[in-house]
Amino acid sequence: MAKAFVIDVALCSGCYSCQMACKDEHCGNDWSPVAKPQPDTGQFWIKVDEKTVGSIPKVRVEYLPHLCGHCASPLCAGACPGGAVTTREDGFVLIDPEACTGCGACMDACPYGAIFNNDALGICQKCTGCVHLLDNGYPEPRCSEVCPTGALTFGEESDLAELIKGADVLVPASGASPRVYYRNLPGKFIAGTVYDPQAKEIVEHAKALAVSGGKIRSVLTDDFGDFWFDDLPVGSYDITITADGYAPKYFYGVRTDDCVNLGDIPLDRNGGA
Amino acid sequence: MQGLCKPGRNFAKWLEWNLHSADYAMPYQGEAKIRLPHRAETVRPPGAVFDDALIKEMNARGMSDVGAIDPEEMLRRLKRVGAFSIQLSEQQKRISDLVEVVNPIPTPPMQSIPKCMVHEAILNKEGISWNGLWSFCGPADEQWDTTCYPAKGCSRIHMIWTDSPCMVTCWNDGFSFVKAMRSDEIEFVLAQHPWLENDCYLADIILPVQTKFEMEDICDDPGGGVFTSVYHEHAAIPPVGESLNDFDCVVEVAKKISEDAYLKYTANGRKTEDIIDLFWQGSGVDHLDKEDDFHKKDIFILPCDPDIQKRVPPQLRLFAEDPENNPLTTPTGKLEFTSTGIQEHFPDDKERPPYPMWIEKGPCHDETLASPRAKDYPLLCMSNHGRWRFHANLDDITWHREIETMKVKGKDGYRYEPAWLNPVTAARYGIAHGDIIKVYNERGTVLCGAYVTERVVPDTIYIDHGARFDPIDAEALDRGGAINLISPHANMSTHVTGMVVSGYLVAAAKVTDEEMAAWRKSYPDSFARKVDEGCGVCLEGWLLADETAAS
Repeated sequence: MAKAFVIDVALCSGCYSCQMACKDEHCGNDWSPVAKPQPDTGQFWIKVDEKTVGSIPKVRVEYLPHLCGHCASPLCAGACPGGAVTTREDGFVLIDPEACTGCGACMDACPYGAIFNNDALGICQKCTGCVHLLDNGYPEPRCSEVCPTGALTFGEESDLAELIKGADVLVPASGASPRVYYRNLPGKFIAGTVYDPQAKEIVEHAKALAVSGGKIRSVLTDDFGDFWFDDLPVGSYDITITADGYAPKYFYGVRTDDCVNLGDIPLDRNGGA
Repeated sequence: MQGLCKPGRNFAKWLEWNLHSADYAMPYQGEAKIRLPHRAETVRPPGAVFDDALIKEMNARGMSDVGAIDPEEMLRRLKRVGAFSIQLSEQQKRISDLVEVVNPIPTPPMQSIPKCMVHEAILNKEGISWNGLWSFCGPADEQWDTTCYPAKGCSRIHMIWTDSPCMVTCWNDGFSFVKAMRSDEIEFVLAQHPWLENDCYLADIILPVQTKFEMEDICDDPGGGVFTSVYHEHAAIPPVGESLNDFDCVVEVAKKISEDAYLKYTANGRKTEDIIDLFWQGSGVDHLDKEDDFHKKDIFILPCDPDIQKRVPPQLRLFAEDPENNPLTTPTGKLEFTSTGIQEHFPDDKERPPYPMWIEKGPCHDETLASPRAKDYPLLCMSNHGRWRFHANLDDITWHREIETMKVKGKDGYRYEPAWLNPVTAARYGIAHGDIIKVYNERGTVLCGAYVTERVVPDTIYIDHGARFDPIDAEALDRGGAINLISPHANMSTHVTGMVVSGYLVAAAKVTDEEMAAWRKSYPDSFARKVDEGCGVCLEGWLLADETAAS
């Protein structure tokens, strides 16, 4: 039986409570033999990353809380020359602070940047899953406990099967099989605003088509003249915009390596001005 | 608007409820209100406890320095300075004790100055006048009266005694406030503060004050939008260093003044526990505490009244049902889209007309991108309450400061206050993400760290207020990013007080290596101050030497 985390980024509001609670638990507190104190700053056993995508005014901010994957095949354990990294029966991967020499091999091996060097103590450190609490009857780690939106869920991997179905892991190619699963990781968007320059008005209910690899998606512009193709895979898209009484507009080969704001799109009236 | 006050059309509520309503948020008890002076208050607010019985007692004791007090006049004047009245009914049997402990100021101060005009009052040798408001949120009719400084028969300010001040980083035109505090007008400044920061640098003597965690006190929570409660706060840790709580700081000063002042301030040397108990008895709600929770559990949560909706209709419901017979407090008794009061008193105020509308500029303000000033200061500075602080509080939290939207680490290692710029704007001025930049206008210069993001529109620069002042040149150049140092000076309009510091014109430019080197050369002391890696500006940076260790 292994423990797992499920993080639904659609519920994460970027409040940073998980990051703060983790520091509250581990900074300046010695939980030996599980972990030595975390330094006051510089380490993030769980960290919230925020990424701004799109461009004004089609902008979104994506929050991604990430922590040690407590992987089924931990690359850090294989890299540690001294055998200081071990996996508990409940799946938690721990660095023994007594056995660790701080060589940093585990940091280099970790695909998730989840391990930190503590220069003062000469050891490497990371998330412990708060096992010092769990082993004393605490139901869950501090990070998931404080999450106010339910974005972070902790439990037995088997109990979370429903949530894990269809969920993603970060850097799946690493082969480490982390037990931190993500739901609703956002894809890319293509968005724009359609307007009639003659009328100086936006165009409502214009039809936008996005074609890629034979797959067609279609949306209508809203009350602001905006259209949004959400959650697109990375790829190349041909966009067509049509509206009754207007000549169609084409954008060929729009790449979605990043989110795309096509900006304000003027439609010309049929038959000229 | 047709739904206003009718069933199902609810009002928004907010945390500072008690600033705007005489009633509690919810749950509403309807029976009593807490009126509680805090022991940590340095000076009792005028009329902190006030009712007819108290006035009579004060008159009987000859406590007023202006002869017998007329309760009606007292109430009127107290309301003008934001005080309130209570019914002491249940407490009247203890009135004698309460008068001694609460020690209300018998009369409101003869002169007071709106906080946003303190620097103007000090620096303007001619004297100044203004129309309302006395407090931050006051009734509209306060504006109809004009007030002067110095008031008739009163002196100019010679000394300032200030409690946890943050004028430089939270109010209007901070650099002007620095000049006022340093002017010849002000002979002496005494500050009380838990931390050596912001306005404290301008003080002659600083009394180190305990935080909440180091002291015993009584407190109430009437405006938080949760269950209304009164609680007894115990010290969580012993006092740090030689700090005293605010009350005891004043006690020490009173001792120096005279035995009489000491006895008066401490209600004849009463002990903390006695004072707290008397405050509890004077809270106006102690009679509701049937189980004595206040003493047993250190918290008394006011009981709800399940029948309250039968007794007290929802706010404005009566007006909604029968507006003619239940008028509002507006001059017309109706909802006013156009303020008839402003229309009558200030018909020619083009800057603050009787109905809200967009005003390009006016006699007091010219801070839009359409202004000729925008040629020199082409960016609109947007300034909000900081996400990672509360006004000037919590700017030093190490776990916040390492979050990338809280501070931007410059190439010199200093964590600068972020200034958000759209990539288009940043490119126009040759600014890259992470650059140290100067943000400036006629009022001075503040250094920030460029945070280039699509989250702001072009031609704006977004900098929250409240970063701690870290003066390079105290009257012109700041490294801490306290952007309110260069915010506009003027009141909202010529007819009403209030600061306008959420949007104003600035320019921004990358600080070159040569420029920074020149500042370091001109202001060596400012750059020599220790800055903590984690919390930034720190006490050690300002101490000349540890004299206790030397002696």
